[in-house]
Amino acid sequence: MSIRAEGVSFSYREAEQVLAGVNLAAASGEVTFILGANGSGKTTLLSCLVGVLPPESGRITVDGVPLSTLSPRTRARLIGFVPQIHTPVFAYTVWEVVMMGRAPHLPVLARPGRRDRELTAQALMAVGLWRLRDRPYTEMSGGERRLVLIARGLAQGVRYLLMDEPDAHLDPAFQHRTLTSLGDIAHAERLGILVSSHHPNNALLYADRAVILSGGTIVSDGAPNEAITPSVLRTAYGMPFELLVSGDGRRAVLPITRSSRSV
Amino acid sequence: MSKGNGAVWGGLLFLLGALALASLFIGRFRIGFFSGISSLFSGADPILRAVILRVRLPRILAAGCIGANLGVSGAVFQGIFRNPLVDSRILGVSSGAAFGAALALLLSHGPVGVEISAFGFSLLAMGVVIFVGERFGASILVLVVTGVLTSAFFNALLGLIKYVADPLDQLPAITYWLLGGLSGVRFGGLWPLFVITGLGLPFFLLIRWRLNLLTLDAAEGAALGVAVKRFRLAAIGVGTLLVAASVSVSGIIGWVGLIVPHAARALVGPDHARLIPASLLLGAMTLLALDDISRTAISAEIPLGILAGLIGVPAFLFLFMRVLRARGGWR
Repeated sequence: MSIRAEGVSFSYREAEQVLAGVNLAAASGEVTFILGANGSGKTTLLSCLVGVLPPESGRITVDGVPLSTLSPRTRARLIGFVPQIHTPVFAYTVWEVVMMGRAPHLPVLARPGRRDRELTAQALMAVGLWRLRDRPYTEMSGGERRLVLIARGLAQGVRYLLMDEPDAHLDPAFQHRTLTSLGDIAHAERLGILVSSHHPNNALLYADRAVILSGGTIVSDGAPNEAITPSVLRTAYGMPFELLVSGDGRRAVLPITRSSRSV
Repeated sequence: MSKGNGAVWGGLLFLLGALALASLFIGRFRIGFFSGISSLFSGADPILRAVILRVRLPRILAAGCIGANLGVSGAVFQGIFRNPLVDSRILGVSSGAAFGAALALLLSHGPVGVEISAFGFSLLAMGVVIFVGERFGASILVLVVTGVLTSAFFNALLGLIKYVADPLDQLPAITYWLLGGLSGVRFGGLWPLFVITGLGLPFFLLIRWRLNLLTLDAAEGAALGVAVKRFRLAAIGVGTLLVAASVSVSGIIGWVGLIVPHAARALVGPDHARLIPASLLLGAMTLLALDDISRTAISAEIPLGILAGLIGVPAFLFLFMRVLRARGGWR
């Protein structure tokens, strides 16, 4: 059970290929991190996988079914997307924002019913926001908003949840809280979670699997400890890194700076 | 959360009903409550009966429909454009109607011709926006730019008509129409308004929860399974029809479509499941009240467009300051 890209290519302009034959699979029950430099095509890849951008060539399948054969509604019941922080114009409550996740399950003329309210409540409890449900979304902190959008993805009842940089703009505690709960949810609900990130260390700490995107293709793919190496990071970011291992075996990478070289 | 705001809805419905009933007895021609009621059933006073049934009743129904249409379409347009300062004028519909009416007046058509021409040209304005939106992706930028251009073009045409119109009779008629009003309204010319209102308002009431999704970023809406472009254009189409049918009867009435959704949001919150019915009821009440004032305040009728600005703008400022004080921001 996985969402899978096979030979996916995409370009916004001719002669400027953003994705050039990407092969990638994100399995249910796992948190997969996509790492890559700014402009390496992470967000483009996510947009293709969500079905918002059609790939130029190659194919995307969800549990074996080609994505292009699914209607927008069916697709939205299988795959959810959590955008980077956005500020809505209107002051919807947290409850109302999360409830919007039920849209693909409701007939066009219907309004949410009891079952939708139950699932919305469950999603809010899963991310620990139940007590804040009547607060205006616009008045929440960036970290809390991220959790609200994750809850909306959960209320959507999807099998795969794709997220654009869920760890951006968050303090270390909120990053820890968000990424830990993502792992818990993925493992407990058999949900496949695919996130883009600029933090190799978060991938090392919280991912079940890491892929590194560079030059339009995947240059490394596997368990985080194996996929994230100084040489791969050098390829991806164009600068040197060193690997540190803590007393209990956890790994982290640090950029090599002038001072560290001289020591 | 959908709270049981029974008191709010009951209050709004009661106020609207009371206002509509009272409006039957408000006007330069004095009608006592009991003599009015009894004349309806006995037929003893045919003049009284005629004033109530043929003059006041169509006017009240028109005011109610037009106010509801402007309120609901204002709320819908503010959602689509994700901009609380927008109303139906953003798409050039009113400018199209204004040009159509002015053209018909220049060609010395009667009220029916004016209504048809205003309606036709506002649909033409809408057609331009929907045509461009359909071909180029219906992004907010595409829609706003096309709407502003359409509006500017029809305003230029309107200027041309004013320039060539006879300054003794045609120009005042055009000016009077542009200021808006319901004084000449009779049942005969109202059927298009009633039919379009009867189809358009239920459409928005039925899809009202889903309108929330239109206020999201396009890619976000698409990821929630919404066919964003089709939904946007459909909502714009129906919203525009409501406005076109309204302004072709009443002339241009600004501010109602802008202010009513804000008042409704202050009352019931931004969730369209509640915002749409609240905008409907408040819009109908607002225009009924404005029309009552328009026909009683002084011995001549005050044009509705002027009243909407004179009363609507200070009312909006008051609401604005109250919300700023209570919430520390305007949302």
